[in-house]
Amino acid sequence: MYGDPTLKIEVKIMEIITNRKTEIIDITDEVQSFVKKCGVRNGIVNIFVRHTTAGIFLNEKEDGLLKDFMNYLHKIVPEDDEYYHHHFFYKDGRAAVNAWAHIRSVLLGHFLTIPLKDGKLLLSARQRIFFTELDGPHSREILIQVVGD
Amino acid sequence: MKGYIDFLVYALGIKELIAKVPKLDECTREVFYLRTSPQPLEVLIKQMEEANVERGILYSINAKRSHGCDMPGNDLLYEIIKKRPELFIGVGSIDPLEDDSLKELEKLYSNYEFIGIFLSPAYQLFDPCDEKLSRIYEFLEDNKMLLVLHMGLTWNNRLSIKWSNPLIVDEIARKYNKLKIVITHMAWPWIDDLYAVMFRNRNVYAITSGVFTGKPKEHLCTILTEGYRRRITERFIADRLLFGSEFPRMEIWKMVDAILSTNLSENTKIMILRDNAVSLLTSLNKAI
Repeated sequence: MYGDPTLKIEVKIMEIITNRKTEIIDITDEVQSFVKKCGVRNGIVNIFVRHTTAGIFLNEKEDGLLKDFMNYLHKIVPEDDEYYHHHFFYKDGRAAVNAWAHIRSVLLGHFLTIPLKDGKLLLSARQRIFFTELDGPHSREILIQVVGD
Repeated sequence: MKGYIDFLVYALGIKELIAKVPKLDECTREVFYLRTSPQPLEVLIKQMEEANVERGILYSINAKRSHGCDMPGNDLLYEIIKKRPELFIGVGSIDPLEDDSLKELEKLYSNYEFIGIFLSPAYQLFDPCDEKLSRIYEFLEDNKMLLVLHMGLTWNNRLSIKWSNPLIVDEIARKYNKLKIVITHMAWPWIDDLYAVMFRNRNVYAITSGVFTGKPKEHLCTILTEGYRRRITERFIADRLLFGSEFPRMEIWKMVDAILSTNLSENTKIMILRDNAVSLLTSLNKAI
């Protein structure tokens, strides 16, 4: 497929200003809408979070479950713990105090790849795409790349 | 529940201001020494909402003579405050050694209605006890404006900290004993010196801003509650401590959570987070 003149690659940077310290945001409709706009029928879509204290995952949209995800992230990686990262960070010119957010983001991951068929995301009926703020409120960027024909 | 008051928010790292004055980004990185990505003003507002902060005191730093830049400058600061007067209150800045500093100060008082000025011996390179500053201190005292003095550690080692120990403030506080003086960062690491100045001078206040010795909770315990500091905080200076996040150097909610997590009495926590600021602002005829 490489070099195929019919192959299209389209990219969008989606900007979000988050509202809370931690927050799970359903971005499925925005991703599907961009795929439709691109006109790509078959291929893949890559969704990439350009941050080290945010993450992305696929799962079911149910309020209780979304609370459970966040609660477990807090249990597994508590804020009130000892972290080597928590010192003055010369690169940023401020104290680094959010090792827990970095670690939680590693657990979630920073990218997803979803197949496309007939212009639609091949998600199951229950799967949704969730961007996850782990140290907000903040201005965030999510890169959506559609590859296909 | 009434909202808290954040007494130290720098108007730096704000995208809208950098778009107007691109040099501001370089000054923020090289002089103010903050290298994180600029954020829209909306992020500051959401930070305040998330932390239950209803008012933010926004600052300017005049570093024209010392570093060739304003951070961000009084006019730009005023633009933000004009947009959201229900959220922000302004503390401007002047170069106290410039001939026209008094004229600028009059503008801040009369036209912009700022509640005071921020002076930083470290960023602005001057001796706070220089006789040339008398006219400034007299104007502030006569017009019930605050003098906020940047004290304590500055990480940028290209800046001098020889005038950053709060003991130097004692001379000013005694001479101008009706002038309200606010010291930033609890003057860390010179906290015992700060106590000396606050014990002797009832017109001196301190902001709990700064994170120097660990995460916010650890640092605020270091300066407010560890060892005999809890006794001093509760019994001696509880009515003159002001909450400050030092945003954008630290997220506002992290500093609020840190105050709330200390073992200070609930009464003292609310005094630091709100009541003391309301009393101080009221004494300046700035009702909340």
